[in-house]
Amino acid sequence: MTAGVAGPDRPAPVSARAAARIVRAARARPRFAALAVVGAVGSLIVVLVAIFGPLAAPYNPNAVNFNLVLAPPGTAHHLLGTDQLGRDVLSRMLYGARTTLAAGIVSTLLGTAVGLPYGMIAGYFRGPVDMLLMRIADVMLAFPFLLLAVGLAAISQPTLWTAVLALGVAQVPAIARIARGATLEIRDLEYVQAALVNGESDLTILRRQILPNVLRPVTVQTTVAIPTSIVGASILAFLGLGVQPPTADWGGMLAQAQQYLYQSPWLGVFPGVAIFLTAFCFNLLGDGITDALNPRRQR
Amino acid sequence: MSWLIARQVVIAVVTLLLATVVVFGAVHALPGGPATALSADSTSPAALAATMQRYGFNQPLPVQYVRWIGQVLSGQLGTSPITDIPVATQLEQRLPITLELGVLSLLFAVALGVPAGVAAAVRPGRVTDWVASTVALGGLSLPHFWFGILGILIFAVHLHVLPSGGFVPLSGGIGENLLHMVMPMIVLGTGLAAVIMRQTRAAMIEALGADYVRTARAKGMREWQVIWIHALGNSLITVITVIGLQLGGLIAGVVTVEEVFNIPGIGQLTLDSVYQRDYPTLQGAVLLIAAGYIIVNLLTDVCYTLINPRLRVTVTGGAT
Repeated sequence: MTAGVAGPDRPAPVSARAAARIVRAARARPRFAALAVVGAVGSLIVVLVAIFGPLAAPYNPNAVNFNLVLAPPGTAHHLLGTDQLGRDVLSRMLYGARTTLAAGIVSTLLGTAVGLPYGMIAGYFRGPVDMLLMRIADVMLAFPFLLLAVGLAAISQPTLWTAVLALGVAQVPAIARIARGATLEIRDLEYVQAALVNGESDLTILRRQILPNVLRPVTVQTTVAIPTSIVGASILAFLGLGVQPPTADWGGMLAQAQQYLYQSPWLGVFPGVAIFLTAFCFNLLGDGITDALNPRRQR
Repeated sequence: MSWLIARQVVIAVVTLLLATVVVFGAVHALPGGPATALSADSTSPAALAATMQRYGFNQPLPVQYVRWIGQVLSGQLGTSPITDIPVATQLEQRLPITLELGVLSLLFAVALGVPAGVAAAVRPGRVTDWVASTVALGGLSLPHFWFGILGILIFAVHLHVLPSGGFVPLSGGIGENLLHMVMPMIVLGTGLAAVIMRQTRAAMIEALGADYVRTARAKGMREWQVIWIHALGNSLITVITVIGLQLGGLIAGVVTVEEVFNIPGIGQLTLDSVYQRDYPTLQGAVLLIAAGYIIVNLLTDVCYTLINPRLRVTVTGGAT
């Protein structure tokens, strides 16, 4: 899982090595590289839709029109039809991209921002500090994101932000374990010892010597975690433990579509396809990055 | 090795205790405190005072915690203020349903994921690998609930071959019982199958490049024996660990799948108790899920220790 380090010398800059690895990995497995490119392009399109989509939306996503409810796709002026309140499905999809994507990405960033230093501290100081921090991480693992979201929903009203918090906190233990493993592997290498002898502070060593080497395995985990979080955010919205109606969100749209599946099955299709394709593209991209950056997957 | 297992047991017990502290703390963090949560009528001050008195909420927190743990250990989890049914009874009724769903999905996932992983690993980078890996990635990206909705649309609404949901207990006939489990099992198992496929593939590629595989081949052993016995036998260590790590995801899946297919298991109980603000039931269900998670993880760790020869000699560091 963790990064191997070639030798006692200070490694070359991370970005240069990463670029070289990506090129090498692409040459070794062209079919998979093609998929990674598809994933990268797809992910980019989804991100652009999330940023600029609402500008292109033909209607206000919450504007109801009781004269035109459950219109099928292809209806004049409503490309993807309307929902049970006569709201334009296309506009809701475009706005929903922003909510769903933001929840997935922000929660992963949150998990990384906490998990990375957490794991580095555990691995760097070892001993009782490590023992204590990792036991706490084990307890956190016993509460998957759904239970955290359930708990937060019980304590306060569920919102987009309680969902992001639950999804983010749930990622901390996995990221912390990876950061800890990578830190343990390099903290005894000569260049770290040399920095210690030089009298550099723990903080400086963590930042300048350890961090660059921990970033690679953590990046791999992060890219894999984003699609999982996107799906997770849509699950929470679907269950009513995240974004609340009438905010447009793909998971929430599916929850409402459930009651109209017999009359209007398309309402249950578009948001699902969107979640699936988004997660799939991010997964393809993440897999490509994992292949390129994880030395154990190169052969 | 036995001390290693003993150590894992101790760690699991400590984790379990910490988990109870978290659940206890969460209930005490509720707005209005636990008395509001446990009273059927939380608006009347007299009722609140009575609940405070009855549960001893006016005592110091550590005293309350010890009392509560004692009750939990003797199986007393309180009574739901909504349904008036003891929480323990509800959990007892619903746990077998969730376990059936979980075990069936796991079997489905292993039956699909392991052979697919092996097939992909035998010729890495070739078409079989490419197709299997891409399909697996698709499986990973598929949200359970949407997959379930699609399944209902196709197999229940259009083709009328499978029930759209619900649960039939074993007393209602094993055929009916399984018929209602087919779609939920496939929906819940697919994501897991994808993860198992990917991990089997990675472990098999590594195993097939190892010296002992070359030796087996050099001895003239048949290729299927080399692949399915030598290499797969060693790869299963990874697969078992991964199944343990995937439990968190499986739990989230169980809740959504039970909701989509209207299966009265632990997941549905948990969600309903959130919607109804039924805190004793919620507390019991969360505790049960966390305990189940920790216990299964312990079993995974013990299995891992037992079958991994490298851990039989020495061990350094902690969990990885």
